[in-house]
Amino acid sequence: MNPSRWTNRGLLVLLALGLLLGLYPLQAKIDKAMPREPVVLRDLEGPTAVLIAAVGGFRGVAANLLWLKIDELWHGGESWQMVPLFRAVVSLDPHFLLAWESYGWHCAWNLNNLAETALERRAWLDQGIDIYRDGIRANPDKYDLYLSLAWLYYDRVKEYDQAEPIYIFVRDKFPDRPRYVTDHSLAHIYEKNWRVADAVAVWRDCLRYDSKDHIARSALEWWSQHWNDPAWRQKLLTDENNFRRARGLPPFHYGQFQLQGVLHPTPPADQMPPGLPYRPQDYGPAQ
Amino acid sequence: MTHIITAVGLIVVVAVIVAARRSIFPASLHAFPAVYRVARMTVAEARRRKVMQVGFLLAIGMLLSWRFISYLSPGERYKVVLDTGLATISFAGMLLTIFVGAFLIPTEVERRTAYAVLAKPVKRFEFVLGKYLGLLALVGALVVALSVVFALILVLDPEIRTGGLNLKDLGFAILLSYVALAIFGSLVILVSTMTSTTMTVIVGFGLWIVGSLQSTVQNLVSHAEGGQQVLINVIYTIMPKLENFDARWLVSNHVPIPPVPALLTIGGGLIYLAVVLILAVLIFNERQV
Repeated sequence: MNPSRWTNRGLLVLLALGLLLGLYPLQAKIDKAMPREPVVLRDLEGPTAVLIAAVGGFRGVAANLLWLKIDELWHGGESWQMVPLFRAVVSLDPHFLLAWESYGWHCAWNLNNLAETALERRAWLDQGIDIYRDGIRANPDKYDLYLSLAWLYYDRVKEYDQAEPIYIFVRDKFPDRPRYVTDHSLAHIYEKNWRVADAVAVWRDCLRYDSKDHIARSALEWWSQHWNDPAWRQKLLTDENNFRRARGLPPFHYGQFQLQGVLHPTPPADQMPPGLPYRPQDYGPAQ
Repeated sequence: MTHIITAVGLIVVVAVIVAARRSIFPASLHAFPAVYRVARMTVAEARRRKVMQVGFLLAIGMLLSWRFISYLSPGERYKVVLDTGLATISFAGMLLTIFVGAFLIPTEVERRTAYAVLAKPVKRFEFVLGKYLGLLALVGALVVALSVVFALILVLDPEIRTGGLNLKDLGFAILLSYVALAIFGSLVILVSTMTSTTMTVIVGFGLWIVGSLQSTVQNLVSHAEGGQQVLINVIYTIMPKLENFDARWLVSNHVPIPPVPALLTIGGGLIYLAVVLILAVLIFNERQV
């Protein structure tokens, strides 16, 4: 037996052991810093090639293949069959924002429309809300899904009091947000609730940021004329309720403090909200 | 507890280096030229077999095919082309690693050409390291060539170029893929020191899949109990963590690659790779050639 050979082997074994011991805690740190979503096998759908790609480390490719399949089903009008594939796509690639957006939209708009009973319709709306919330949990640092959720509450469910805090959150957290979506929608929510002072404050902010914001200018002009106009307030209420009736949603009226929000009273004639009347010269050139 | 484990590990590594300090320098002086010669020979051999050229052409075809999907919206195309392009580079690298790596040592042993090399003043560890570095050079050349073609495809596509393409993150993602391939290559070499070419290919594919299911195994640890949990934990500890090197979905979804964790991942990967190569050398030292 060659003692030097055995010494060398022993040293190599010790070196490997020492390196492994050093790696063990480092690996725990790496795993924490680079969190991964496990492949949920029960969520996987689609052809065998997709399954192989998914378990073979090419989850993104598997998600893309399913995405192409969804596109095909969409053009074939097979709306119901798209649902499990959407689930598989977002499970395989939780950062695929477009997939989350389309999945939520498909449930809350398309399938909600196709549903036959009020209960089913409500279930698809709730499904859309849950999908956006899951997507936000997976992508908390992107504003896209917050805006999708807020829009769902605003446009589809008509629960303005649910949409408002989400728009405010996006406005405060994301300086790079698209203002024509976030801030304008927030102002429209205030308008629908006849919260004149709040709406005017948001429109003024929009104009301070971009003096070419024609929508904000028009809105301020309009409020200058109608802030104290009970006929317009009544018209808004009637329009809103006609729309709600057509959608099968509960009516919206002053004094209803439930989910739909509150229509505020017309301000007294001697209390014009700050920022009104609108004076174009306060906001720089429009062009 | 983790600090104690780290300290013990460091003490052991330092102790080994101190104990072997007198032989490290002369051994290195001898090893470098020998390792270089074996690596060069490995590259020349692979070039003769045209594996690389075929792999390169196939991968180019795959890269271009994704480029021509025209019915998607610009945002979708950006995601699909970037994700699948990066995956194609990894996939081609993985196939090359398996199909070249599996032949390197077993073929030399079966043909008995290893006798001739080892009869010269080439030590066994130099032979293993040379083969590994040759494989690394081949995979590196393929990854660089494909990356250049891929970058050109992306830059020449106006929709993708203006869709928020971040070349720095793209380069970082390719680097991470290459380190993953380097780790995978070391595992293929380790397996090839023990068994035949066919077995190495089969086990190689298995190791790639296991390494890519890292988060799934990690998830199992938290759901198991008792002895089962210990067993899965041991498997998780020793398995290659290839999934950590997958930054494709970050790049294609406009998520920046976090630099510090990514560098830690590379560091951890290099330590793992060193351990695997030490094991490969130890096993090849014992093998009857």
